[in-house]
Order: sequence, then C-alpha cells, then structure tokens
Amino acid sequence: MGKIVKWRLIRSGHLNGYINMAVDEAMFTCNMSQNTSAPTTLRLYGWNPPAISIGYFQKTEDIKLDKKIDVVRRMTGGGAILHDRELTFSLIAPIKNSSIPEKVSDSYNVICQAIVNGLAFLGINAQIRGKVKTSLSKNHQPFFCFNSPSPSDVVFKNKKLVGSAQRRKNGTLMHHGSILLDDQNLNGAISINTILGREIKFEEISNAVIQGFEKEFSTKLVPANLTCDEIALSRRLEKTKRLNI
Amino acid sequence: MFPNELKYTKTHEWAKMEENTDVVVVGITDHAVKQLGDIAFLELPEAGNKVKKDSPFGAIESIKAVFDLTSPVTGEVIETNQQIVDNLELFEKDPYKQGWMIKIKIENKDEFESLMNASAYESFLKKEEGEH
Repeated sequence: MGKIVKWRLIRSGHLNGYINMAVDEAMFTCNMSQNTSAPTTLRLYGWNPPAISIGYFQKTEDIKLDKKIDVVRRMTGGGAILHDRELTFSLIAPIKNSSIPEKVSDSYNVICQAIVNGLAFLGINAQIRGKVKTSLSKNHQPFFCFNSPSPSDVVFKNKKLVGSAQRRKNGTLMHHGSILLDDQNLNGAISINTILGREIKFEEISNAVIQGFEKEFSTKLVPANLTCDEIALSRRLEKTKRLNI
Repeated sequence: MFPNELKYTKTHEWAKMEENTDVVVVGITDHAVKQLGDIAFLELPEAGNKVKKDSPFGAIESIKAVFDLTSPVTGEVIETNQQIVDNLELFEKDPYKQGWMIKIKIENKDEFESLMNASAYESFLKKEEGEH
C-alpha cells in the first residue's frame, strides 16, 4: 500500500473579498518561495459581505454595478463571479512533486473530478462538462463565469454548478473553484440547494469537498493554520486589493 | 525536434539573437503551446519597458489558466509583436517565426549564451516528464 501524502487544510470561514484574495495570493507566493518542498494546500472559504471577483485579464470598465458591492481582482483567469452563497476553494501546489498534471486541461480534469467525488458523497451525480460548442469569439465571451460554459465546468444535468480557474507561476499552481450553494438566477447554472431541495450547511459541503479531494488524490487533509509569513504578507496585500469601480 | 538556431529556458521560452545585433527575439516553444491548450489572452510589455532575466515580462491565459511569461535575458523591450496579440492562433500555427512576442536589446550577451541549446532543452523536457 502506498504512503498517504498529507496535505494542509485551511478553513478560513467567511471573510471579505479583499482578505480572501490577499490570503490566496500570500499562500501562493509563500509556496512559490519554497519551490518543490512546499506542502499542497487546500483552503476553503466563503464571502462576507458578498463580493464580485474579476479574472486576471478582465477590464474594470466592463463592470456594470446596479448596487454597491466590493470588487476584487483574482490572480486566476476566467470570468467574473458574484460570490454570495457559495463555497470557494483554492488549491495551491508545487506542480512537480504533486499529483497534479502539468498539462492545463489534464490538471482541471483531476481537480474537478475531486469535486465530482465530493458531490457524490452528498448524493449529487455531477459531471465534468467536457467539450463545449460555442459560436462566440474569444472577444465576445460573457463577462460572468457562470454565464459562460467551459469544458472544465462541473455540471449537473448540463447546468453549471462549479466554475474553475487557475494561475501558474514558477512551477506553482493555484486553482480556484466556486461551488454555488444557492441560486443566483443565472442562465445555465444551478445550485446545491436547488439540487438537494434543502439548505446545505457550509460545514457539510466543506466536509464533502475534503472527502472528494482525499479520495481523488489518495491524500489526508490535515487542518492547519496559516504560517506567520502568510499572515504578514496577506495583511500587506489586502491593502492593494480594493478596486475602485 | 526543436530549432537548432534557438536557445531555450526552463520555463519554455525560446530566444534568438538577431544576426550582427544585440537584439534577442523571444517566443514560447511548441511544447508550451501544447501544454497551454487554447490561448485566449496575451499581455505584453510596451516598447521602452525594462525586463530582467528570470522575471515576468507578461502573461498568457488559456482555458482560464494564467501563466507568467519569463524573460530569458535582461534588457529593454524595443518591439512587441502586435500581430500575435491580435492573432493568438499564430502561437499554434507558427510558434518559432510569426509567433514571436518581444524583441529585447540586451545588456549582457553572456546571459543569452548561457541559455540551453535545442538538445539540452530536449533532455530537460525528458527529465521533467520522467520526474512527474
């Protein structure tokens, strides 16, 4: 029997968008500085107050707000997300010495399969979307992630339940995933609560996701705290995260 | 497999010294293009910007994954390839010619000379695949 690899598990609870993105960037930066010896880390968190995150390449002038809400830029790609009632996870790993494939599409597949495994523990038969037929050019993609079908989506009955995006730098990967807990009236999307017909607790979906990753990667997720370096860096980064829209 | 007249980095950029100049042309290898998949966005520095060896000079996005582009040499960007910014499919069609991204006027030719040649890059890729 193979040795079980331990991963670090950070449960952050619900934080504001600026802190959430600052913590992710701090974890990514500190992991990168340790090169291949850094532990793979899964962080689970929610958003309070709700916030919009935009992808690395998205333009702030494309954001149209009808109410005041925090807006923050992610390090990862993809479209904008309204983070309200959702579970977000960030997976940070050195690509070498981890079970994550280097090829982008392959890495999405294994990480999304972990989520599919986790949802199966809740009795949800979700799938990875796979191929997408789109007539839209790259310059005319919908602004919001959940309006935009992508091969890496985790779907339930062809409706998007989980959106994903990544950042790679100096051999380190950060994967963001957003799991919709409640409906946002988005075309082509569905939430956990709608599928289950009840209100899922944050703890329950968190535990399912943890089990999904442990199963997919034959790993044990060990609860931990952020390091002193990660906390110090995230406090500095938080001040830079506020976008003026 | 990889053009012999080019030099290579561990982060999968290629570099070519323009004849009788101190200008290095930079792109990404077809190995990188295959790993990336369908490229959607590209961010390049403007002419006049300084770049530093082993530091990011731009970013590229494919399948919602953002990668940093790493400069193989230190110097000043003298030209960027607007054609590739507008036609990202050129990365796949012609990564070593029309797919160039920036031209850098370099400060130290030794930095260029110390990059990997084609056979060293090929060996590096084999080793990397073996380790994974």
